[in-house]
Amino acid sequence: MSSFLKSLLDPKKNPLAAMHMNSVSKRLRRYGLRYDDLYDPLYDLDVKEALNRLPREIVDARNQRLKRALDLSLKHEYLPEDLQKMQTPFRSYLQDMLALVKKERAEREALGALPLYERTIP
Amino acid sequence: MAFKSTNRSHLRVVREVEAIGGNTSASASRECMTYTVDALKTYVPEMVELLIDCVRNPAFMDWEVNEEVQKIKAELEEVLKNPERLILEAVHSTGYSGPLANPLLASETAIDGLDSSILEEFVTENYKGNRIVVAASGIENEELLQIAEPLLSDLPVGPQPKEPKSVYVGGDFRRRSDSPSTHFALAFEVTGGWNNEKDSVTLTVMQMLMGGGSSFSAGGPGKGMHSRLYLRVLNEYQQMHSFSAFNSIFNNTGLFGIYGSTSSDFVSKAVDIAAEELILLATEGSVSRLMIKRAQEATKSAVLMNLESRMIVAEDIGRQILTYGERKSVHSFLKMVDEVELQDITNMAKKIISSPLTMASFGEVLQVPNYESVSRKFHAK
Repeated sequence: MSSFLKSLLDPKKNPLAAMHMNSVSKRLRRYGLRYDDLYDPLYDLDVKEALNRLPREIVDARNQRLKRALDLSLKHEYLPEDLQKMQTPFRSYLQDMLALVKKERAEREALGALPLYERTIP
Repeated sequence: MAFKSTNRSHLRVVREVEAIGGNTSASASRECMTYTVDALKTYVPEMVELLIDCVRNPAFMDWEVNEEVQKIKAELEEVLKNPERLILEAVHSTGYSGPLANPLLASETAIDGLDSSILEEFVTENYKGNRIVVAASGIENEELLQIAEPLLSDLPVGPQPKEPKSVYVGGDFRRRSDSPSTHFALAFEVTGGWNNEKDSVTLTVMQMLMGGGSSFSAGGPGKGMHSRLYLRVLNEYQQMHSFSAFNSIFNNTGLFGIYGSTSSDFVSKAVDIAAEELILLATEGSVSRLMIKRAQEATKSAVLMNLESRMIVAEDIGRQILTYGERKSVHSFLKMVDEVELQDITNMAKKIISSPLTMASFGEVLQVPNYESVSRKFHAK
């Protein structure tokens, strides 16, 4: 069942999925961002914990990409064409760590321990 | 980092230990590392499996290592406030050159360079089949063997490591600080160490003989203060806060010395007194039979009382197998304590003070006498 759903969403099998991936990739490349940069630590505390655990260079690179994208959007510009060609919007750095954090939190809850962090509405 | 995540997460390790109602602890010393678990007898398979998992497969996650490094830095700052520990470390680092000089309290630069990869390397290099001893007290050997063998039998046998030699050199260590009391220690080398059993037994008895401690006694003035250093020094001079003999014995060598802490104006006299005590120990006829008997009885009772705790018995078994290759019974040790004679103590003391002096002091170090002058006192005799 899940492999059927996966093939429904797989860009290599489904042309509609391929079109979606192309359009997302184009939009990300215009601003020089990666898909993982869009995960917001303020939205999900798991993302915050995962970013805390990642090595410093990766988090610094992420922040620089975000700053560059903010700057471009302020000036109503896109990234220069040659840089756009070098972008890799779907190279992942967060997904594995995020999966680990979510797994640990699930285990914590399953064992009946109190969670380490909880969402508070500011 | 001892009982943190392996393939199970850290939370799971802690919960499993709690579920069997056990205690875990780990300790590192200059010549061995010990991991201990204790719980009820019915939980032996779980305990052994947990212990071996934590020892063999620690997954040193970066974030956990970073947290531990922060904690260690905080602890280091605490220790700097405890001068006794600092002085003992200093005596080891200055007195030896070679691996025994490596301090147990890491320096700041060493900690900053610590990384999970370094820890992993250490584990893979050192935790080999021929260097691990699994010891247990309270169950039969066959039971332990049955459980532990399948878990450990595939551990690769590494090359027998060449133990690097450390040489005792002696030296002087001073650290100035503004504290109202000054702490100092004088130490000498004892050749032989644990491998020379007779000498190490004599050394233990000698340390019980000298004894000493701090000048505050919980039972009332003068209660419990029967050892030689108490009677001769602490009861005479009021400015001494504490004065005691210490020893540390390694596999091939050992240290014996006196540690004292006094108010800062009394320091030079205190160092002289300490030197006199050590010299007096080496002169014939200064120690009475009664004192030796008391020291022997105190040693025997300390050993037996310690061996009543199962945890200490297990640690003792492990250490003896690592050092001697077999476990000697308590009775042989007690017999050796009884055989210590007055002449042995005097001879040992003479041999000890003929080795170079190691001096360490902390506090108002300008008042502490010169290394040369103190050293000359011992060699003039």
